[in-house]
Amino acid sequence: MDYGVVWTNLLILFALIAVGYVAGRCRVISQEASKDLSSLLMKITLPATIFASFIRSYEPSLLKDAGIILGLGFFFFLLSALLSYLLVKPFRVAEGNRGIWMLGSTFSNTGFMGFPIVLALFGEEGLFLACIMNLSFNVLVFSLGVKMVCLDSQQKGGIQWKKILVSNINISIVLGLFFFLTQISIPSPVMAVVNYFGGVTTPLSMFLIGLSLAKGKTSDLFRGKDAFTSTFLRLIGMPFVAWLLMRLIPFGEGSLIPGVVLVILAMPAPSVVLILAETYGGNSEMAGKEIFLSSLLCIVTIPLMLLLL
Amino acid sequence: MDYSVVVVNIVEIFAMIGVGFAAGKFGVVSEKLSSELSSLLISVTLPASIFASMLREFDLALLENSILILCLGFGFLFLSIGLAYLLAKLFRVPKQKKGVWLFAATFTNASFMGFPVAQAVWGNDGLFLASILNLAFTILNFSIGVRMICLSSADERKIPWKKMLFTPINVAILLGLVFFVGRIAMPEPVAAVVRSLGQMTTPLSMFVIGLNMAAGSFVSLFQDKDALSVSVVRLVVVPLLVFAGLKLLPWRDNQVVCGVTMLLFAMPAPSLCLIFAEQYHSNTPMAVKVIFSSTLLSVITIPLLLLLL
Repeated sequence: MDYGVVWTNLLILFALIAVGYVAGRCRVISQEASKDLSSLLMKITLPATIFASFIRSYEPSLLKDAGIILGLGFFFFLLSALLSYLLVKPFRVAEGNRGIWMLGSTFSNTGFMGFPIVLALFGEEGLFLACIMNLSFNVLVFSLGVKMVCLDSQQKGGIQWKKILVSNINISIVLGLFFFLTQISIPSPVMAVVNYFGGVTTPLSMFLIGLSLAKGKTSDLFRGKDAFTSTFLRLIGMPFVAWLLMRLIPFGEGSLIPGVVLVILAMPAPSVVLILAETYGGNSEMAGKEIFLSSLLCIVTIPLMLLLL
Repeated sequence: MDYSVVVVNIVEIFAMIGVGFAAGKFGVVSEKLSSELSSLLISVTLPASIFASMLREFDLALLENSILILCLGFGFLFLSIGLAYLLAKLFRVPKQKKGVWLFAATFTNASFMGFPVAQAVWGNDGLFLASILNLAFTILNFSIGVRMICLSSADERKIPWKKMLFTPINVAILLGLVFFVGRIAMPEPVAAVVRSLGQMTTPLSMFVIGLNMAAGSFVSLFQDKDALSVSVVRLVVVPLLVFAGLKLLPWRDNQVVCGVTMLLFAMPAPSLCLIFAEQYHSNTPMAVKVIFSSTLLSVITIPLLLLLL
């Protein structure tokens, strides 16, 4: 990899996070805004970015890579789930934190943070693959993930398949695949509109991560070790294991797959951890801590993990 | 000018208004989003895009054009203020509507709508000059504009000079000019961060315009003859007068300056009209109607007026 470009691109993304942090601290943008702006991101700009990454000329090899990365996605998320389940005891995770601990250790922030970073590092083809890998995340976080949260609470985790499957992001993936496979050409003004909105994703998502970091109280953060152990697993343990295993697979020269998988697995805990904790009566304080701590520390660990490539 | 390219650019931009409108009508995003996005635009992304447009190699001709466009801006603004008072008499606008009527006839949505269109048609030169011209609009709408609005209210008119001058947008213009005139080179990663933030401006501002339109109703458009008359003055009479004036002046061959000047005078009524009406307890329903009807009609009038160039 050309590290000069990688570091510059990462620096730009982290600087955007810093801008969001400063805007939040100085109250330039109200903190309640982050929720509505997130929904703008998830419902409009991220689907546009994803769709745009699918509009490209057809290559059979890309389709094969998509199949491989989907398989790897399921494999590594399930492996992470198993590892986190086995490690609950050795790490002496407190009763009541366990479900959220496992959830935060297993799943990573693919969409919000993973997509912009993959796009910056591996271009549109990388993003295409990351979107496919994200399908495994979506399926598992809302099924297995819900079960994990329910370990801490008395609630029964009914899985809402409809909610999982019908989201703007998935619709854009299906539409994108359709246009990719049929190679129907889209009028250029339409693509221009899609690209305009898609261009908002990277700066807005980084800005929002900074805004949410500005909300956290740093003093509470360093109490309790469970958030730390979960963050360690999330940012270092899981991607490292994946990297070791991927070395056994011959991907071929120039394949983007190991890089994309590693970057996605090296992302901090996703905000869906907090949403699930709130929905299913899990420990939402712990969830907030995990997200904050891992989002903060990933600024150091992501560049370190990239050195492995 | 290649008119077909211009039309395509403008259609793309207006299509994003349509996306915002649809998102608002179908409740994809929350109603509060529009005010949150506006503050993100005004305090973060617009200043970034203006500053980014000024990070360029020093060019004496551009500096001369800036001074020229600022003078033209003041000249035509005073002219349209005079015209507005004259026409308000002629159209017999009732006193309780007169303040908003005069304001909307004189001032335009230079920043939210004017900047993106100027950038789409003339690139960074267009945005650079538009932001300089906007200085004339800012100074006059906070001074004479406030007086106009207060014609229909019992409020004491206090001009918030400090608030008016220390806006993020003005700070960005000043900083941009320092870098431009001082020929200071900005490190590339910093410039990339600014560009990345600025890239959000066009899609988000068009989206907000659409969201705001979704809150209005088409029926009211044709019920208020004063809202309609001011829209015609705003979108047709004033820009035609500016066009005729530009033709008489010795700078008629300066395409970018004349184009940007006419474009900004052809924009719909600004949302500032509503903000002031609320702040000074003037006629807010009138302001809502005027903004809605002029924005809607501008989708037709702006491309037509650009035919003249």
